[in-house]
Amino acid sequence: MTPEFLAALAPEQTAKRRDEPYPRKKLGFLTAALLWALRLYVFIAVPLVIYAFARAVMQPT
Amino acid sequence: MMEPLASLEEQDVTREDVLRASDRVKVQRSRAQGRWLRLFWLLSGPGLLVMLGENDGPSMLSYATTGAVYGVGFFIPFILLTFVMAYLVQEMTVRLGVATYRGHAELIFQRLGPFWGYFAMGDLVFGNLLTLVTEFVAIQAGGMYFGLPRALSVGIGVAIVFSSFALRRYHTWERGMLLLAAGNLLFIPAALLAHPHPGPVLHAVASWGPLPGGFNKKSLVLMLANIGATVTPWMIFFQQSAVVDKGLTPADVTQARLDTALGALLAAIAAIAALIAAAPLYHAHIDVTALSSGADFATALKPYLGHAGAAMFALGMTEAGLVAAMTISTSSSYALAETLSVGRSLNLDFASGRWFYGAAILSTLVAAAVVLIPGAPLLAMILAVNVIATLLMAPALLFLLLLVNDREIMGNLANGWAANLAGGAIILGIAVAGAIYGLMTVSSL
Repeated sequence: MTPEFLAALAPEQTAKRRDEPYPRKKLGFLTAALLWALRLYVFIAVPLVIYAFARAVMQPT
Repeated sequence: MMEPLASLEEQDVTREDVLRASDRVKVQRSRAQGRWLRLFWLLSGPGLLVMLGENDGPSMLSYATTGAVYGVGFFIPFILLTFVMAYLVQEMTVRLGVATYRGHAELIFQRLGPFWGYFAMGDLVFGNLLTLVTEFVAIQAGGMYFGLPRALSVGIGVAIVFSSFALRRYHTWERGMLLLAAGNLLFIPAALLAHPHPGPVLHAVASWGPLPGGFNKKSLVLMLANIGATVTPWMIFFQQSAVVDKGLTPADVTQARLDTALGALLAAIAAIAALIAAAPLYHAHIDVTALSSGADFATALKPYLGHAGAAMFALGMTEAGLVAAMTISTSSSYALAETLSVGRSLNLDFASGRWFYGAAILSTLVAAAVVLIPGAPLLAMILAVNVIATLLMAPALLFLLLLVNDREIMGNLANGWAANLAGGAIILGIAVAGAIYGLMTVSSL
C-alpha cells in the first residue's frame, strides 16, 4: 500500500510516471517551416562555432 | 511514519519520490496554515539560483568593463532592461516545468524528435563545458588576488562542487547554493566604497544617458556582451529541470514567478553594483584593455575602493565563478540524463544517478584540468565561449517558444497572445543581437 505522505505528490510527479514519454508532436506548417529555417541556421552556425573553437585552441598564448 | 525505503522500492516508489514528497508535505502544510512567507521560502530557489548563477565570472567582468569604459550612465538602465528580458524568458520555463513535470531537454527530445533532442543536448553540454573553463579561470584569478597558488584555488573549487553533489538531496543542495549565491551581493558594499553620488545614478535611470562617445562599434559590442551576460541557454535548461526536481506544481506558479522576479532584481542590483564599483577607473582615465581578470580589476581598483573594497570585489568574482560552476555543471547533468532517459535528480543516490552525477563530475574535472594546463589559451577560449553561447542562443529560444505554445502539454498554462508578442520580440531581439555579436567576434579573431 502506498504510504499516506506520498499523496503529497501529484500522480504525474512520481519518477515512474515521469519516465513515460510524451508522444511526438504533430507539426503544423508554421512549426515545420521554423524547424527547417533552424536547420539552415544550424548549417551556418555550426561551422562558425567549430572555427571559433579551433582558432581559440590554436591561438598562441 | 515513513516506511523503510527498501519496502517502498518494492512498490516502485523511489528515494527521489520519498524526498520530494516530504518537501511537498511541508509546502501543503504552510499553504493550509496561510503562512505565506514560509510558503515563499519553501518554494523559492530555482529562480534566485538561475539569475544569481548567471552573474558568473565572465558576466561580472563584462559589467565591470562597462563601468570602467563608460562610467555611470546609459548602461545602468540597459542592464535593468536585460534583466526584465531574462525574467520574461525564464518565466516561460517555470510554466513549462510545472505543467509537464519534465525537464527542457526531455521535452525537446519527446515532442520535437531525437534529432533536435540530441542537437539541443549536445550544444548545451559542449557550450557548458567551455563556460565551466571560464568559471574556473574566474575562481583561480580571484584566488590569485589573495596570493593563493592557481592549483590550490582550482582544487578548492573542485572540492566544493563535488561536496555539493555528495549531499544527494535537492533541498539541501539548493539551500547551500542560495547561501553561496548571496556572495554575489558583495559587489554592493564594494560599489558603496566607490562613494557614488546618487544624483548621476538616478539621472542615468531616468534619461538613459550619458553614453560617452555615442553609439559606435565599441558600445555595441558591450551592449551585446551585456545581453549575452543575462540570457543564456543553460539558464533555460537549468531552471525548468530545477522546478521539476524541486517538485513545484501549477498551484505554485505565483511563488515561482516571484522567486524568478526577486532573482532578476537581486542579480540586476549586483550587476549594476559591479559597474558602479569599476566606474572610478573611468573617471581616472585608466586604460582597461590590459585588465583581463577579476584579480586585475581588483588590483586596479584598490587605490579607489581601498583594501576592503578591492578584496570584496575579488571575492565576489571568485564566488561568481564558483556558483556558476555548480549551476552550469548541474544543467549539463540534467540535460544529458533527460536525453538518455536515465535518473535525473539531485535526490538520487550515486548508484541510481551515475550518469547524472558522472556528467557533472567529469565536466568539472575536465574544465579544472584545462585551466591548469600551462600555456592554455584561456583568454581566447573565453572569447570563443561568448561566440558559441550567442550563436547557439537562437535555437534554444526557438525550442522554448515552440514548447510553451504546445497546448497539448501546456493546457491553460500555454502562452497567450501578449506573452507570445513580448516573448517573440525578445527572442528575435536576442537572437539577432547574439548573431551580430558572434559574427563580430569571429571577424575579430
